Amino acid sequence: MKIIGIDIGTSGLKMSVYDEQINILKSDSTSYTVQSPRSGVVELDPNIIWKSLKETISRLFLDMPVEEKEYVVSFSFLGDALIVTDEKFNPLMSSILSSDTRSAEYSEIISKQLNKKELYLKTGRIPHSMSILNRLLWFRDNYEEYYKKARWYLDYASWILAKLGFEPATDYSSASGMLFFNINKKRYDDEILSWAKIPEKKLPFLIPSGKYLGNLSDEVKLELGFSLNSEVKVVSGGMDQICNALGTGTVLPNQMVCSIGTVEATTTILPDDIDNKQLFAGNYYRSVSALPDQFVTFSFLWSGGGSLRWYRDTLGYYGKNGKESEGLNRNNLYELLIGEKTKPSKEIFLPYLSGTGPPFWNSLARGAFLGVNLASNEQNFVDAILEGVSYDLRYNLEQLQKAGIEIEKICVVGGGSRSPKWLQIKADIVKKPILRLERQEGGSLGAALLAGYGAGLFDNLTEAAKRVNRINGVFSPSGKYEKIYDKKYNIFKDSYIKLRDINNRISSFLR
Amino acid sequence: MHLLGIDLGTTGTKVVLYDNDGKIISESYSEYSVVTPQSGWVELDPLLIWDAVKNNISKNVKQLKEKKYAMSFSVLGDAVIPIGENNKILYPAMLSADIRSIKYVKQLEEHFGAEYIFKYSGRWSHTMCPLTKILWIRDNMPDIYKNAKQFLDVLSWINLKLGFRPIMDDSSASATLYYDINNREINDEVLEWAKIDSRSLPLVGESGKYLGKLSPKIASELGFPNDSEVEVSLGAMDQLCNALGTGTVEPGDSSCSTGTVECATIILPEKISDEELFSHHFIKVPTAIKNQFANMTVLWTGGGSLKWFRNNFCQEEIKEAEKRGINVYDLIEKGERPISDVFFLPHLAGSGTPWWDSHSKGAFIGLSLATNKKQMIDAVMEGVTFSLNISMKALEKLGLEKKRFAVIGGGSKSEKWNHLKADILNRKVISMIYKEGGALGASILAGYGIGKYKSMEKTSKELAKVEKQYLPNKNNLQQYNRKFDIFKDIYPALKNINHRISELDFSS
Repeated sequence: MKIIGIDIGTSGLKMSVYDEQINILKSDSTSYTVQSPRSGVVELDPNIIWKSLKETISRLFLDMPVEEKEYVVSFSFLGDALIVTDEKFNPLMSSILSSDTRSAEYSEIISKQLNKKELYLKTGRIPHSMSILNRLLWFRDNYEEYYKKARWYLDYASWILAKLGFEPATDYSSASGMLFFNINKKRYDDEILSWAKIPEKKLPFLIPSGKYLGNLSDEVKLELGFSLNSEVKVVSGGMDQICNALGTGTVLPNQMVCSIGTVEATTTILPDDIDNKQLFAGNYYRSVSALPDQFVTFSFLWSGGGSLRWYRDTLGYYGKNGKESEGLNRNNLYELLIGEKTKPSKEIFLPYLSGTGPPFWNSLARGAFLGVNLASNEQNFVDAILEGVSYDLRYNLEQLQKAGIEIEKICVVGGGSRSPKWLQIKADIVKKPILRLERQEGGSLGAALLAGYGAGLFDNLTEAAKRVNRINGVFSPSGKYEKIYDKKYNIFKDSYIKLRDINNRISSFLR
Repeated sequence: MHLLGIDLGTTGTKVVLYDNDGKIISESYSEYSVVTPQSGWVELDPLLIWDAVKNNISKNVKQLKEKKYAMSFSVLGDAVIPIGENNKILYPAMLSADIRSIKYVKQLEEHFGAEYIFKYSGRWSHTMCPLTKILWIRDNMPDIYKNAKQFLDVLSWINLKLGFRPIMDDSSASATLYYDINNREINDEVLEWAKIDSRSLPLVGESGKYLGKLSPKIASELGFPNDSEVEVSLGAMDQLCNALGTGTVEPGDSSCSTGTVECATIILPEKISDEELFSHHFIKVPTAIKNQFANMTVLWTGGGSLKWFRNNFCQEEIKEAEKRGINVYDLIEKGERPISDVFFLPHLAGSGTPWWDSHSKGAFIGLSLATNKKQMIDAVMEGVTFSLNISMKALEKLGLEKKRFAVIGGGSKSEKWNHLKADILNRKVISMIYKEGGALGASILAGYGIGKYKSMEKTSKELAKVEKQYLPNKNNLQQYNRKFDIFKDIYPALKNINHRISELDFSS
């Protein structure tokens, strides 16, 4: 049997084929772009994803051994998108993605009319434009006709299953972003639905991750390019960060994985005795994981690696040396990250180029370079960015610790984890060992674990996940510059507060 | 009759020769270098200035038939030169930017109180001031202090070299912190506290005061034709010569010099009281014109901020400008674009006026993924101008009329910057044909001293020729007003943060 893990993300679809021991055999991907015609709007045509899925599968099968007859497939999904369809699951319009902020004003309405704390205790969320509830209310008020006409209000997890011939069902981890899914009872909350006047029959069915759902029909096999005499099992998947956690072996309470990408996101497994009120106080989500009775929380720095990319594109000159035409841009970004860092920089960077994630969830926050002096140069600015992103991580660790989560070490994946310099800065700033993982397949590896589990290849998902990845670099806190990093961290925290009011005003300056 | 306007600056000396009607005949400039033997120490060998004065005068006059000359000086302020027996220089000039005397700034302030100091000197205790530097020498170089006959500034030292008594003008004296600008005398109480003998200090006279004729020996050393008659008058501090050289002579007039440092001189009306100036942390300086006072603003990194940005983040543009043979600033600044939401606090070397906060730092604020380089460049230029606007707005509130506003210095070659000043200050801005006003101002003092010019004000207005005027663009006013409202709150918000950054010890 071959396992296929499919990672459906915002910017592309990645597919990997594994053997039964989850060794990777082959990988392929197709990228697509979201539509963002104006600030605040982020849409994606679901048909493009379906088309990419078919194309990627057919490319993967071009040179697969023909004798292979048994497959099992599962998915990692971008979360919190809204797809409205007719009864045949044809989308009525483009899907609206989680970073679309048009429904931001509904947060206040929801918070006013429903008790925010009760809402949190039931759903694990605070009202935000990321949630499906915000999006549905906005959709209802702005596209009344479609809202009424639509047979289904789906997300990618349920829509893809529907397209594969199954019931449109979403897994608990994906449903955790809805703001009307009761994460404790694992069902929709009647009270919230009736307040919002959302008919439950239009919502996806609810299922756990890693559940065997059945086999693909001949018709679908044909459409996707599987041979008719093959057997393709389908297993329910999970939300991308949840799959990523699985694929990095982040399965035990108090474990944290940090993905250093454009967005720097962490996923932390919550201990059973977590005080939810404390989590709520820090505005940290509580989401269902892929494992039974387990919950996780997240942090997001929207412009983590994105800050470096911005720097490169705006001010950077590194390594160009007249070779711009040779497409060295990508490498240039990497060049910023290599090399020795001798000392902490004298500058401080606030990495909030697109607002903050938790605990502030402040979309009006801005980026800043502080402490700038006549001796400040390019390298100092880059170092300040590397530090600033890490101070934000330390802040989140501190908040999570207040809620009773004791994190001893942090596993890292993602593009930024290629930089030993950055990882050492991170370790020194957060004062915890940073463990770089060997396998960087992200969501598709987690999806493969779910697929294998659903197909019965192993009975214990936790154990399988623990074995699947390996550490290939440990960056321990060196204690070097500890005093100065501590002081800079405290200044960093206070700078955010000191600039909050000014940034609010700056945000309305151009309006 | 020819006039010589001589501008003694921190980085070089310029000599400009004018004919009897005040038209430029020729000019000459040469550079020298300051030395920083330790961080915070900024020194200059006075003999380098003397050599530059000799060489540049000589270049202008050596071949001439003219036998009658008058000259005067525009001088960098705030320096201290200890002089021993036979006028021997015991230690190089400690310049304005030298901050080694920081300890004495506090001592003075604690002993006399800022308000008292302001009352007699129009100043705030600062490392710039000669008194704190003399105190530093007293305690840290006792041998030099013991052997020092006098502690001169550059103007009084040059006058000494020219064969006159060492004398400085009121504007230069006002910076010393031991001079009472209202009673035009040394403050004995302060000298007593400092244990300094008043005989060791330069004399003080009015700018434009006639000092006398050069001896034939010195005249020939400077390269004047044989049998020339060279008459010398007392000069003034550079910013006040700038004012004279730009027609900035009436209350409400301002001249703004944008070089590395941006410095504006604003002639004060009598109705603004000392108490009001003090409460706004302003300074009060005698101008070259009798019984007239000016406020001076200082931003250490005015043009310096843009230069810093250019050197660090515009390497591509520098190469491109070289290739096309154009000025890099043209490439950086040019282009019409909407006013952005990016802010820059231009305190790359501390704040300057009105806060005098040497621990303040620079900052870019309001950055987002949509921020681009041009917006950051605009922010730098705006930030420098907003900083000036803080003082201008406060003075206007105190009753300063908006009269003439002249821009000079390298920064005034930038049309964009001049437009920006007009828009942000919301007033007409004029650029001058002659962008280095100091030498012209000095030539006016030279002519005044010998009685050729009867009125400094009148001559100044006649000789300072306007190049172009810039009017505020009505479409931008409201937005710049709103942007300024935010800008003015950035320094207070970051003050404490910057002090903490300043205190970080990177040595371990």
